[in-house]
Amino acid sequence: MTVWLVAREDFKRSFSPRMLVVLGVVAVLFLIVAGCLFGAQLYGGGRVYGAEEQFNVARAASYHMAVGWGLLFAIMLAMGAASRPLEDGRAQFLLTKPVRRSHVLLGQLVGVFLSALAAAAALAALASALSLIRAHVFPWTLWLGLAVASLALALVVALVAFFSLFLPRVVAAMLGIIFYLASFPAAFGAVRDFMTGGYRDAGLQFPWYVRWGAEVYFAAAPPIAGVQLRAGELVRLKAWGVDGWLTVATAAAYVVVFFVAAWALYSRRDV
Amino acid sequence: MASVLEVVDLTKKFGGVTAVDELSFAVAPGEVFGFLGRNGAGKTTTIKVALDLVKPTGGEVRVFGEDWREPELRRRVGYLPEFPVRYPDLTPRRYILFAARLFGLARDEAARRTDELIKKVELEDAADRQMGGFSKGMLQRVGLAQALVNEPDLLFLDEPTAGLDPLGHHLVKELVRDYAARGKAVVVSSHILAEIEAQCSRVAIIDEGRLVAEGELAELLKPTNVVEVEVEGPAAAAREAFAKVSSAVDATGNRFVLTLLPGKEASDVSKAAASAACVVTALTTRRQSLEDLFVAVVKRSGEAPPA
Repeated sequence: MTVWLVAREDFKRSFSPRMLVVLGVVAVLFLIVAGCLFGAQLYGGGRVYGAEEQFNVARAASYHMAVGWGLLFAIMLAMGAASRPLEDGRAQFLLTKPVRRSHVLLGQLVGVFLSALAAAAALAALASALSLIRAHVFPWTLWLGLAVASLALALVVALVAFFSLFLPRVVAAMLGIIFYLASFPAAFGAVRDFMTGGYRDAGLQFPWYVRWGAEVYFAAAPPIAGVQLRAGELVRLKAWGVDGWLTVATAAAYVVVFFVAAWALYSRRDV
Repeated sequence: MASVLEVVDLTKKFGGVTAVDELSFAVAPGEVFGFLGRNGAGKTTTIKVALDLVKPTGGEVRVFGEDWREPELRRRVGYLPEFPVRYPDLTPRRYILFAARLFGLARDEAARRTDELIKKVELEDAADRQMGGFSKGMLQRVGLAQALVNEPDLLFLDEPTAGLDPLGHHLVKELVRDYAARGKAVVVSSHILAEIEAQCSRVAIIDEGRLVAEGELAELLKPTNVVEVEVEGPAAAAREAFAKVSSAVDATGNRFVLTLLPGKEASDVSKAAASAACVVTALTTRRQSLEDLFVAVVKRSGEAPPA
């Protein structure tokens, strides 16, 4: 109950008038790009795409734009979600009530997560409206993909909040963006296979630190882009095998690990 | 009677700085306890430890006889921090309602309590305005309301009158009096010594984190050699007689303020009045003010070699 109360308050605070203006600008830009995608003639492989192909491309692109924006929004909010209240007295207000510290932290992170999800969902809703108008089809897989990709949002929120508890907020946000971008190579099996041994078949040799670095990176990289791309396969109705479930399970484990790490820091902090 | 708050050998160090040094004191139910000290003496840190906002380096706190770290205990505790409100985008009504809901009050009950408190702290006109533009005094009133929302059995007030106008001062005084009358304990940390003197039954004075004085005000504030006396009879004769027992006589009609000579007591004043054919109608020995006591113990503490 208290988790929900804290989350709800933080959710409401996320959509300040200034933030609503930013959201409005992003929505307009999205409408322009997605509107073109849903309406324009697309070419590929030396031919014009058919209506269904065009719809699939527009839907997948909308999905990635919505999730990308959601991730960016999550990073923006998460950098101050737990650390700022510790400094500005809001944590003091909350922690003098009969509320456990873990519940306060969880509430703050859930609030950010829901805000980021709402920001992504707003774009998905616009894409759905465009799809209905242009193609007379409701893109339900877009929403399915978004639901799965919400795990990537949760992962980014937990990760950035954790870093923000012992690093300056801007650095924590930068690390969130770096982790997100750096997680893309790990999301592609071909890259992983090449960097963890496949390079030998191509007659290449890497120094030991590159080999070890690659092993550690591919073993430990938080699957932020991994979840986004795997969920993107759902959007395009591609087969979802063990790999997809494994990515989701790994991401869920990372969310738990980063939350517990953040809680370990938060619970020891003087307010 | 069991203490509502018991601080035992509490120590808190921030890096190499000792903010609180083996501090011990207790607060009983129905008591208004004054917590005094200079800036940085460790008052707020002690209160924050009791609320589990700050982790102690050593010692312990018992709240209602239980471990202070148990969040459920705070259902019976209210806290007005020195800087009370940090939600500039909320209205007082939403803020107090939020606090009430965090205390576990049902929605209707929380709304009823919020209305009641808005009235109590006299913020009806500003109840639905965002707090971003509020003055310090108005924020203090909102902070006070949120501290009372759960009708706490133990109320911590950290500089409760900071920024308040005289009416606000009066409001705080009334609230504290009302709370104590209902058997609830109030811990007031303040720099305004006259206020503490007027409200508190017992005080603790800390300096550099150490307890330098603690006890009932009546016991701590020692009698001085200044006596106020009112007589019936010839004032001129009385003045002459009083001059024999005092070094200074300040007279206003039949009322005298006497600074007694060393070795003289109040009984000597009565005898002097009788010798001048006057009847004493009132006689009081002035006590040390809290300010005098505070300055004396803090100076003494500063001169003492560190333990």
